[in-house]
Amino acid sequence: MTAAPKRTLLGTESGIATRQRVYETEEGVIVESTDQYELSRKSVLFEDIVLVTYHREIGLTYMIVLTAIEFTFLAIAGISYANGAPLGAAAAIASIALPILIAIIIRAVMKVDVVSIFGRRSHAKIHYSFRKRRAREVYGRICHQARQAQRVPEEISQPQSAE
Amino acid sequence: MLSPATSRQRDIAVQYEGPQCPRCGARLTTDWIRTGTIICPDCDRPFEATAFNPAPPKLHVAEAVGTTVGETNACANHARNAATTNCARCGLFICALCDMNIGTGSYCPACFERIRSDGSLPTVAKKTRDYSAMARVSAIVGLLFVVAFVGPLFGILSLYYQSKARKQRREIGEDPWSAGMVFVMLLAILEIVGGGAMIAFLLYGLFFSK
Repeated sequence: MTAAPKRTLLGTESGIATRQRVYETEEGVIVESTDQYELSRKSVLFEDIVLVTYHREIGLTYMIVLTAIEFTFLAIAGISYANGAPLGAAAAIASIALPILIAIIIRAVMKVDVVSIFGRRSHAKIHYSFRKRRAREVYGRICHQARQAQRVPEEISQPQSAE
Repeated sequence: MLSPATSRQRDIAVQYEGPQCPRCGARLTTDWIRTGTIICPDCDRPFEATAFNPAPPKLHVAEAVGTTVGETNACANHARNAATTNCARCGLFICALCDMNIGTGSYCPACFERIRSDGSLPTVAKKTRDYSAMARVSAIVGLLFVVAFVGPLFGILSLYYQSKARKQRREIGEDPWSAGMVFVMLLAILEIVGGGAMIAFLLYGLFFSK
């Protein structure tokens, strides 16, 4: 039996309905996405990489959804208080919105670092919400690996001349 | 297609056709694929990029020796090239130059264009069943319905999916005995034992209590 190729988890990307895990192997990057009970696996080979990008974003969908939930809880608390509910009860309802508010503030301050890898046939995206240094490191490592894989044979075989 | 700099037309790639703006998904033409900070021509937002120039895949095009029976078949589009395969859709003999194989079978350029425009081109992604998720869900459903005496059935189902998941994980080089897997296994065993005990207790009550 042949040994399974070693792979290391680089990061994940989660959408509303999708969840992707991105792994690094010797040959390239593997994107494993889960769609209900189906695992879909595609790879971006280092020798096929055309563009690697890095940017920081807030994530509009995330912010809109969280803000909507936040306002819903605050509205329920406000309406309850206006209709004669005790202040404690209204405050308890409003307090549910507190973790959401914290999440919104954290996202607005920290943002998400996104590393995108575009190959000739497929692409991969990795999100880093907190590990900024790791995002930079992965960006650098993918670029390095792609550079190594795409070196022309002469460049590899040619001995470096002594200056 | 997005033309460089001047065009404001939004062209979001539905099927992956090459590098895109990581922010808005607009396709980037070769002029925009470069190293440094790029400002997307479509959304005007910047991103850092490192461009590469991968070497085109090396093709070995053999020359056709002859076209008579018993000798090498010639490519339908290049009479001087020997055919290496035939199109999976129309059966035409094609050489390495015409072979449009993106990992989903060999097609001649005409058929490739047609199925691509139809949107029926099979995906390059390899699809498998996520047995870990199936084992997890079976265990949870079993736990929820343990009072309905179907817990043991779901427990057994969960164990079956777990054995498949372990095999799958071994194949892809992951630890088959992760903490999550062990937890789900314990849950499934608990459902089988607990549910079995409940059924046994019920049966005892029905038939042997007097």
